[in-house]
Amino acid sequence: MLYRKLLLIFVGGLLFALPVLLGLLATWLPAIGYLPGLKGSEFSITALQAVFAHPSTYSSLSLSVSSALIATSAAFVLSQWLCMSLYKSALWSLLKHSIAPLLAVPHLAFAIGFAFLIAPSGWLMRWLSPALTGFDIPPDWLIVNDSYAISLSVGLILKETPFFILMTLSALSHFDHRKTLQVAASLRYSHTQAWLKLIFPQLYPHLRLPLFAVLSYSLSVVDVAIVLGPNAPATFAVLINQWFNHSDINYRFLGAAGASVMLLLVIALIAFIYAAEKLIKAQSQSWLVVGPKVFHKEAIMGMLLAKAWLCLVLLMSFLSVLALLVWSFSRQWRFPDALPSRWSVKYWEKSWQQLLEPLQNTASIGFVSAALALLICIAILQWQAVYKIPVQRSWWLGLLYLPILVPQISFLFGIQMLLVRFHLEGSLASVIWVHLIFVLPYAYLTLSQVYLQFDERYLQQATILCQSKWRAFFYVKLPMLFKPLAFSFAVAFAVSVAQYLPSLYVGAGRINTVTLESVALASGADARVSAVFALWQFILPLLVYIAAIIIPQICFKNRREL
Amino acid sequence: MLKCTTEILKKKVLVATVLAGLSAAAIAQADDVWQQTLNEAKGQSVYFNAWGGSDTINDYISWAAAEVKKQYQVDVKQVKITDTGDVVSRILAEKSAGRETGGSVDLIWINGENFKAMKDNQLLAQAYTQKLPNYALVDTENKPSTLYDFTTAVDNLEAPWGMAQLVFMHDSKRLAKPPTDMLSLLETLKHNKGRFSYPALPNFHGTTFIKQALHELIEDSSLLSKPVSEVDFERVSAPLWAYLDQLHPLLWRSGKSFPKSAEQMKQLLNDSELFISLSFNPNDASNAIANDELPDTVRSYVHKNGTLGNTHFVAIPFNANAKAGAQVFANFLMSAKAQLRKATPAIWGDPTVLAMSKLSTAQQQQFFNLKLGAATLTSEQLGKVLLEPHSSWVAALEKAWLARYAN
Amino acid sequence: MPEASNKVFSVDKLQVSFEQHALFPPVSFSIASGELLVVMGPSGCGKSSLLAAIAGTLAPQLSLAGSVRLDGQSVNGMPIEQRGIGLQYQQDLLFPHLNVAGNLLFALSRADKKLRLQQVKDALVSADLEGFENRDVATLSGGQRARVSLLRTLLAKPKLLLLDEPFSRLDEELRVDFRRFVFSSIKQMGVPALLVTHDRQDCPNDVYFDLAQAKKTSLKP
Repeated sequence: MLYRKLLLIFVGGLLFALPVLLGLLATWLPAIGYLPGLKGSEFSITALQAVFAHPSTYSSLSLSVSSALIATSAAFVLSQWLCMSLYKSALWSLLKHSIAPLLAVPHLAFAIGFAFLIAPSGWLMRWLSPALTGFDIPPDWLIVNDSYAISLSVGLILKETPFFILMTLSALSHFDHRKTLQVAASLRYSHTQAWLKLIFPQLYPHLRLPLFAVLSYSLSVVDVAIVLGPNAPATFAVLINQWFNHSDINYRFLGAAGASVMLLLVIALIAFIYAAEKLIKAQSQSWLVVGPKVFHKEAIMGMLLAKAWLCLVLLMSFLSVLALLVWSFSRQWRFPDALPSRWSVKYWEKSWQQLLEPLQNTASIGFVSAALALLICIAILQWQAVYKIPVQRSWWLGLLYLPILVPQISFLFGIQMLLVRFHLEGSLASVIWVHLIFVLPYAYLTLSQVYLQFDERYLQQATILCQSKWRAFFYVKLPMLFKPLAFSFAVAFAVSVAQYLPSLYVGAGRINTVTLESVALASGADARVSAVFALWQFILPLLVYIAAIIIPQICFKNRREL
Repeated sequence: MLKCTTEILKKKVLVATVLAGLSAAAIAQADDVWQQTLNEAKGQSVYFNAWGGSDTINDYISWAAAEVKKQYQVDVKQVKITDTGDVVSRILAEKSAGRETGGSVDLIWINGENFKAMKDNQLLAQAYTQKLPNYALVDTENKPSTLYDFTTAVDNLEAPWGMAQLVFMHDSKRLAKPPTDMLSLLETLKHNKGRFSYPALPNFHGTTFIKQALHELIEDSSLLSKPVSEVDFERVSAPLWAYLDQLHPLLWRSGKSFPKSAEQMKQLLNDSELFISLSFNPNDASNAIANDELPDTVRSYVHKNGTLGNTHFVAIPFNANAKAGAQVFANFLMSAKAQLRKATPAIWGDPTVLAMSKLSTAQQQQFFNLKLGAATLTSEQLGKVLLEPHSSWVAALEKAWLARYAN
Repeated sequence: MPEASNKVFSVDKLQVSFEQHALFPPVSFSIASGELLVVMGPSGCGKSSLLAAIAGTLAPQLSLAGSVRLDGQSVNGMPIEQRGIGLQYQQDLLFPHLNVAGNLLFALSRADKKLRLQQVKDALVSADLEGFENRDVATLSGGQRARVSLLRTLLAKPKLLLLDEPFSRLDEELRVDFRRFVFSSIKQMGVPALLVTHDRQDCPNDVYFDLAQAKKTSLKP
């Protein structure tokens, strides 16, 4: 038993925690001044001092912290409120089924579309002008890239809420929520009170990790922050990125130091949220059991508001993608035209030739890394199922989640250096490996609940019947889990497609992906070309999601329970 | 007596023959070296890391790659990058990891600060442009920026590719009379609040705008060629900050937010969020009009006392895998054929680095016949080209700008 | 007053249907305070749906006909919160994030803190669980959990107690104990109770209500 546990720690650690830790180390060294290849490289803390002496640092830090905290908490609260209010209502199935397509839209593509939607010269304004607003030229309003990072926060909220909803739905399957709510109702608790006092406390332990992951992402995101966030000063992650790309090569030290500061910031904020959780838990103990409110009028307004919010979120996301679609087919589109004045498929045609190789690369990297991730997850989960190890108690799973908690920029620079040293960079295999590091946690997150709830007795019966553990596994358990496996695969694939920094650093210019092309062209800001490439970035995961839904339906046409 | 003259004549002929022989040998030797490079380059794959944000430029590079494949059997692949700094980081990582050969970058499109960084840290291959036949065609006499990249000596470490000059573009429909210098820009914005901006530093175009302003507002512009450590920066740059303090409230978004890039400014110009934009390519406006990126009422203009200009280059890293192939490609890029196509407004419109006097009459005629777009200024109209300040000024300007406007 | 007319809970021609297909024939019966009625029937005959219909937790696809009256009032269409009916399921459904005392306090109305804690203490004593206030529910045995669960349901002072196969998860020995506990609690609290099961041993007296036949039947032949 212990031997097996140690083996798993060893394997998991070697494959995933080690690269992260080594990457961190290789980034910390330049942070404290050691970078062979640059003049004046010796151990010192001047880089760290320089970070805090830089004029933009403090504002950047406060922008990052405020936008990340606001976006994460608002998305979290919104997702919980939507789940609570729309539970088993008319829109419940809409909620459940709209998650997958919303998750398939890559963050960058969504950000570009959303920025265009809400800009003063953007689509919403174009619909309203000049008829309703009287504007012939766009007003000089600071909406996108505003100095308080509000549009960045809103963009992040729109993108992270579906993720939280997905995690909540998956967490709900952990206990009998229906009966719990019925019991609470019979004890005279209103739906809201029952949810807050009984359902949410049981959900939260499963939502803790996704919460931390979203917080880490919001703090360290670069591409979305460039599109939507402030730029004078920018958020801290963007600032670090500028330092890494600065024409003055000595700024690399600053970049490495900044990346280390970013890691500390993430750790600090996670600790803060953890402490807040403990505090709230302690303070709410008596409130939980104080008894039902005598006068309770179930708020109809609340339900209506929730329905409106869900529709708003869906609408904004849909319009953002639609905006990209319209741009991709336009030839000339000036303010205040509501639609392009001249259309063209030229950019789609051109992009197909340019993207042949990147598409092949992206697809193969995505398929292989998703498949590998799924295999590894199944192996781990099966081991967990057999030895009855529950999800939360296993601290070693923290190793698995390390890559999505540690900001990418904090260790990718180091990984690049390590790979270069061992001549491993620039090959398809190494890009797949580095993608796998990030894909695996998401595959696990989406698969674990369903997998571990599988009734092992099916497997036991099958083993007896076909006298072989493996055949039982392949012919009974896997087919029964086909739908969740397919969904997990689709999520893993989408995560791989969206990777930017890993492909950039490890691909060494040899392996080109659709996302790399997207960002390169987005820097040119020809909206038509950007839109086409952003949509290509979206089409691949979308196709896989659709396949993940349709294929199980075809295979199990006459099997209602599957 | 006749015998003496014949002897002298014989001697003269002998000397002349020897001299001719020696120079022929020298040329033959140079030819030999070049031939060796050509032979070595056959079949090599050259990874050309170049900014990929413009479709027109990407198309040109594809054409050049196809030509080189046809003529020299060298396979050039463009690695589209967002930021030259990314590539420099990668080469640095390779150097730190001890990778002296077989590097991932064979040729890089570069200039200015990035070039200086690579040069200072020994990230470049040995001097090579003197070996390239087409380098002889470069106008090093009249285009000093081909020898001094932002005042850093090029020393044959990078091959000149094209010329750049800061030009402004305005939408003549919204703004009939463009400003003529920084001060008149301020006046124009007073009547058209929020219709101009520049990218936030350390963006390349933003830095150039600040340098241009400094050039116009500084009392003694000769100080700019000196290292910034030799002057009293605070005092000398004071007029610039005073000017910017007045300008920023009149800028787009009141100076609280800046455009991300000059390319985004084109989009803003298209939508009339801005009335004035800027670019480094004098042909940018015409190109954009032809591409439906800008309306046909856009025109280019420059400031009356000249605008900053520079050259952009291609360089070979110290550990390039396909050095011979990279040299062959760099040579092709400097050829009259490639430069002509590059300067063609419909293709890219990037000004040439070559000297007309060094070309054949037929080639000269082709250059003169190039039809400039309605929005492009002729070389006379482009006026005086100001030289870039000493490279040390950029860091000081950036720091001071960030402290004032991005904190 | 004759006890017969003191029927707290009654059901008149109650029938549950799924897409025009009735699950069982219309049933009518009544239960007095402290009386326990056992409903039995073959699997799939709709026992749980009957309970759901009375409790108000019927799935939206199912339709209800007939009337349900509790304490002189019709509860048709009333939301669960207002019916005052206690639900006891097969699973104990103890809330894992609250300790034993927390689970029990949850059922009590708002009142003075000391008073509520005393009620909890008394309840635990009555179930042989003295001193269990601060125990984590995960550390309790199956039998203890079942008892705490019933205590919780009863502490809310329901007007009617519905039990859906409450003993089926317990092993034989525990079942006997728990059954005794349930029956005595019902008698003591004087609450009408309806118990649905397939186990004949769950009948305290030898009469049960046969759902498929829609009438009271005797166990004795």
